[in-house]
Amino acid sequence: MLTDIATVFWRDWVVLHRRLGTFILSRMITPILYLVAFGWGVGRSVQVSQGNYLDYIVPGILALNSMNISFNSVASPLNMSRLYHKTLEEYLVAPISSLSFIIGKVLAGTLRGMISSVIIILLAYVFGAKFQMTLFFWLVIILNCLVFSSLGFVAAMLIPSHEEMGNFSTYVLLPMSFLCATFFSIDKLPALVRWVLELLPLTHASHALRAIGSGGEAAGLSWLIMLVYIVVLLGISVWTMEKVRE
Amino acid sequence: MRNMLEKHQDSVYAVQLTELTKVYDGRKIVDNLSLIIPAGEIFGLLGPNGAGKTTVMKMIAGLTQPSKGSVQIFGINRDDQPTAIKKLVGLVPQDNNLERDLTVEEVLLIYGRLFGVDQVKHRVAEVLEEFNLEQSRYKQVGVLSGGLARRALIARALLPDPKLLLLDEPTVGLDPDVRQDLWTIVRHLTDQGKSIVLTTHYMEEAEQLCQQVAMLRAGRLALLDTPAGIKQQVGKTGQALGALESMFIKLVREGDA
Repeated sequence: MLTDIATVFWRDWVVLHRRLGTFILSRMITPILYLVAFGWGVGRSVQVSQGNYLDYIVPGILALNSMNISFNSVASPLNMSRLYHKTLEEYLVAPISSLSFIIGKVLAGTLRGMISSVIIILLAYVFGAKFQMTLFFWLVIILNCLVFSSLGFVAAMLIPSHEEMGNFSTYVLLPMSFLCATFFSIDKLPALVRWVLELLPLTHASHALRAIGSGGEAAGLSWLIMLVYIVVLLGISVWTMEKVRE
Repeated sequence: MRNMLEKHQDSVYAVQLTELTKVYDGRKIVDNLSLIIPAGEIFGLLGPNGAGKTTVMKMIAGLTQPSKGSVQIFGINRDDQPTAIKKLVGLVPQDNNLERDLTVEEVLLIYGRLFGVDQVKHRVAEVLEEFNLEQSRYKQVGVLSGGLARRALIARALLPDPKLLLLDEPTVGLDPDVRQDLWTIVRHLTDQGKSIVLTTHYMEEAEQLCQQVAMLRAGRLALLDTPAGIKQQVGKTGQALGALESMFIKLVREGDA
């Protein structure tokens, strides 16, 4: 099984390696814009309880960016592979388990999310942000990438057209990007809205990164919710692999 | 499991389909199809568009689950050993589904590793040589011509040395000289003991290559015979090529009536 996972992962690594320069450059644009607009621009006139607004939003930007990159690294290519290029069939006829394929793809998406996170952290330091990085800080980023790579897998296997993939991002990822404690605290939102947002993994990734980044600890609930999402989404991914053969 | 996989050595048929049925959105694409495909031969699966040929191929390859019925490959029921049986089957799909971002060599290496091929780099080199793909080895698949891409697809399917090769419209859209070239490859494969099932729209191709042909119409078996037998049925004294085409047109028109 490990060999199969490594093979699936290696395929994505070969493609990424070939375009690594372009990938890194393209992944710098959005975080730079966020850091300039919200860190330097809005941030200079905003004070938050934790201190500097730039320091406050860096964990949020990390969470939302790793979400977007992990999701899109898996969802879009896999959806195209299933519906248009039919390259998924290569794996369906191969004597490997569905789980090996899923894990290989999800890890490849996670790797891309991690690379983009490294880029943001370096840029954040350049912009003068201050936050602590521990092993747990990285663990939260990895879990967040795993959650959204898995979600990308599920979306790619269930959504019937590439156009609808765009709609999924608009209706699901975009609202999360702004509402899940990335740019502001959700404490002052109406209770019902807050309750819904507390169910979403990105909220917990933002909370956990902010807590650890400011020298504290992530709440146990945040770890639990991210882990539950990973397990459930991987389970659904296996089901989608069976469904695609129907 | 080992005993089951060794069973194929003695099997006289490559594929046995029993009451195979596939339903999509309430419509029967393949309808109660029973068929025995002999080992070591080239078997043609013919029929008009929508007859269910590709769906049958997909069910044999394990890409699609039958709604009803069973697929046996070299005496082994697909449902009993779905993963292990995949090593016995190579599929060349109708559309080029090679990964455009990879080179020919990378495509083959990945496929070989997925199939657990021993000494995969050595085997890839062998296959590249066998299919005259050495000069395209480091080319990205996206820049290959239609003929080269088709060669690469066949090379990929044969990399794990399957006993059964499924060719779904292998020469569609290719120049006549490339088509002839691929026919030579296919004939050579049966000399190596491979069993081959091919679907085609070209009656000439079926006539040139196949020992037996089955014609499908609306997912059902309409005719099963040798090209010579069909020639006899049509009652022509001319070439069998004309006979196969005449029978094909007759069946299509009966279906439309």
